[in-house]
Amino acid sequence: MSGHRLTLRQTPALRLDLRGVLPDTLAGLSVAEVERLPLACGRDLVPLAEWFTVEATPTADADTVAALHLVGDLSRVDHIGHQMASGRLRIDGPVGDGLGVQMRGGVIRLHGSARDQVGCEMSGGELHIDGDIGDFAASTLPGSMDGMRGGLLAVCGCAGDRLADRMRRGTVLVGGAVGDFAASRLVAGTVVLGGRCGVHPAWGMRRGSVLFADPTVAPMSLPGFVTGGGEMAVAWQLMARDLARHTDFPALADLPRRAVHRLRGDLAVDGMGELLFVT
Amino acid sequence: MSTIRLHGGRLHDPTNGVDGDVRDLVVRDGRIDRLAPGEPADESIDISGCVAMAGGIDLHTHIGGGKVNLARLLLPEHHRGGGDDPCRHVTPGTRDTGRRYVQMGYTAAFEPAMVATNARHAHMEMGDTPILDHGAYAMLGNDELFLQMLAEGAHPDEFRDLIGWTLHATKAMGVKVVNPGGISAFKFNQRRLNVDEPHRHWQVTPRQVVHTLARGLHALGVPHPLHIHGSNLGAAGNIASTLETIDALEGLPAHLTHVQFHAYGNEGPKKFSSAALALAEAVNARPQLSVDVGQIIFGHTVTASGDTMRQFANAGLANPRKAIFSDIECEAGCGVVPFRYREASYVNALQWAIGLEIFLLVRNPWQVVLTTDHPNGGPFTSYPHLIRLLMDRSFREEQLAKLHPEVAQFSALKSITRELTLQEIAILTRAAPAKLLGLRDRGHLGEGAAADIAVYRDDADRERMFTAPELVFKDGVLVSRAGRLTAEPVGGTHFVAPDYDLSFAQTLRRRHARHGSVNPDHLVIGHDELCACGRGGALLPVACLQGQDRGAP
Repeated sequence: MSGHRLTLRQTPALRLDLRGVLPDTLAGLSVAEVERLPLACGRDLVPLAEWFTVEATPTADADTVAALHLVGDLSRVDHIGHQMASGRLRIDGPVGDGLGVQMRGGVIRLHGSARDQVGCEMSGGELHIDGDIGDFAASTLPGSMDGMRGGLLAVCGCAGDRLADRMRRGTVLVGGAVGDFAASRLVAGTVVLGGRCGVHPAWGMRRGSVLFADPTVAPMSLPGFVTGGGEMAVAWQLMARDLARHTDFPALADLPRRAVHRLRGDLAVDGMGELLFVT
Repeated sequence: MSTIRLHGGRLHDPTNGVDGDVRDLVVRDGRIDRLAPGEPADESIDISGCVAMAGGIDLHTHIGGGKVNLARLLLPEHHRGGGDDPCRHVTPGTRDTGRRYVQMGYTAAFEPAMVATNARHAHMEMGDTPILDHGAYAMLGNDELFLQMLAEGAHPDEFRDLIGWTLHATKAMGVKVVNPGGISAFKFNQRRLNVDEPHRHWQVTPRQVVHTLARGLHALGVPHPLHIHGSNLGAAGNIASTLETIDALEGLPAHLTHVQFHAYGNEGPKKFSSAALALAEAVNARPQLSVDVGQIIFGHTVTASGDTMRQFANAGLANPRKAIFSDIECEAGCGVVPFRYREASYVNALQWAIGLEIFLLVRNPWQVVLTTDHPNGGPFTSYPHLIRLLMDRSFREEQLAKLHPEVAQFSALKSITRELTLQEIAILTRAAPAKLLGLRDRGHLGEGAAADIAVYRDDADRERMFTAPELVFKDGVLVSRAGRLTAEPVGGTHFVAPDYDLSFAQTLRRRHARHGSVNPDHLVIGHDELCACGRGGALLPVACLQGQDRGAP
């Protein structure tokens, strides 16, 4: 199956909305048809060719996965991979807000950084990012009650505030530092923090796991969290081996040989969640 | 001086006793007129096969003021990904609200819960709603000043003047009382307040509040009688408090609003039953009473009410689970709770049936008005569906059969054979609301009336018929053709200006200086300011009733 490469010719003055430009949507279209796709630019709709050079890219593999490749400084381009359900999307260059929002399947690989609301309300698929991301990643869109509900968000760089707010399911890995209120109001799911975090981590957490994978991050005193809670050697081994598979995060490879210290909380709500500190 | 002649259509004009007669309708300078013998019309439109009525009037719909905005803010997810239809939101923005009403043939809508301190916002928001004429009812009966005066046993004239001043200051069409005394009692930790139960702090009862307000409005001659949202909204067995509230009026005229939510018994295995018959009998026996129904419509909506006490009680049922509650300057309150009415729910199915029972059991159509209490029972966009339910018995029974089996099997609705006629629908949706509001030149097609006209293509499927009228005129201007807007004029503001003792302003200043947090003089909206709030729309003062017109005391 063939794919497309879209190269941004110049940085737009206004925000460009790439909703609807998805690998499987474009798969059946000719170059001319792709060029005519309407994009929201500021308050107007413009044809895609106004901003992008479109090329067809025959893929070598015989599989049936649709592929899309975006190239350029996309920092003013929002909603890339919005509601993506299948296919492969590769991006070279920084992107704007809302990357992979409500994504359901497929794989997005971003070689660059992204702004706010990465992977909000995503329910499946994989979202890999080389660089840094902004606030509200893997959390809710304004007004919604549930954040991320499945899939994987893996960020090698740093993340901003409110990472994984109200998340219910799935896995979030962040290699670098994260901002304030990481994993706040977490309902379930796993959040792994490879670096330092800001104030009030796991504030209002109901269930789920937050792992502090950097051994230099000591267990901190957190209101609402208490030490202890049963034998967990087996559970930890299962979790550690699963996380060690992520080769993009060399620090995690060592996890099965490490021990963890566990806090439970947040007792202000259900108190069924856990904070794990690698020792 | 241009004239438009609509010919060949059947007219339904209950106010003037016209029931489906084929007559010409002539519009001249925004008014309904007639042609002199031999005078040609500038424009002639053939509307044969159509039914012409006055523009629809919704006398109870939450379209302005703080809580609708809170409802919009509470549900941003409704604005998302809606495709072409901006009205997926159950509380559409002002512009879509005006447009959608007009597309259904409505030309006026009234906001029932305007707080005095918030009146400017309410008028601005309604002014921002295009095409529709609008007005609002000021909320009284839970503000500290009123309750204090009642506790002190103030003279009835003082209450008359307080009401008169409030109407003058807020440029309102009438007065609404919401859960009489209850919103205030909630702040003193009372979780319910029955009609004869004293307010914990002020020691006054809802009975006193209702009677005092109804008497004051009657003394002022305000055409729209007290608009009552009674005690114990939505609670099983609340028919008792509804009937007690009617008793409290002691024969004074009143309008009971969204009565569907106030007509519940507590019989049967689930301790929740229909009391529509008891309510309808009370209304049938009292010609001075009128009601609007507040029909529920299945699906998602948001309930936005001044009744903080009852909304708090229902907050556990919120769907999605979020809600807003607030006190407003010790004058009133508000509670916004999103909700989903489900066909499979016994309670919701029964509520649906109770609403329809009330429509069909109240004998005199002039005493009942078609509303869903938008957005509380459902969005106003469901009116065509509701009209079909009332006009088409087989359709009604088809819907009833889909509901919770116990309701489908035992509801009294099954045995009601009445089907409303087009004439009766014209009463429920235009003529009666106009009469209840004292709008003498609206809601009918007589000579001299404002040329607000809706022309519907006659169709056996009444839902389709009332969804998109062929033509809609607002003050003689064609504003919509087959559901497409053709013009967007600014609507006018209806308000009353009753006579009251002007020296009351002094009393008010004294009291506010001692007990209040705002300067009462700042609350007064002048005519110029009202005009500015309404984006330059017409000011439409409504005359107060004199002497005998007020009816029995």
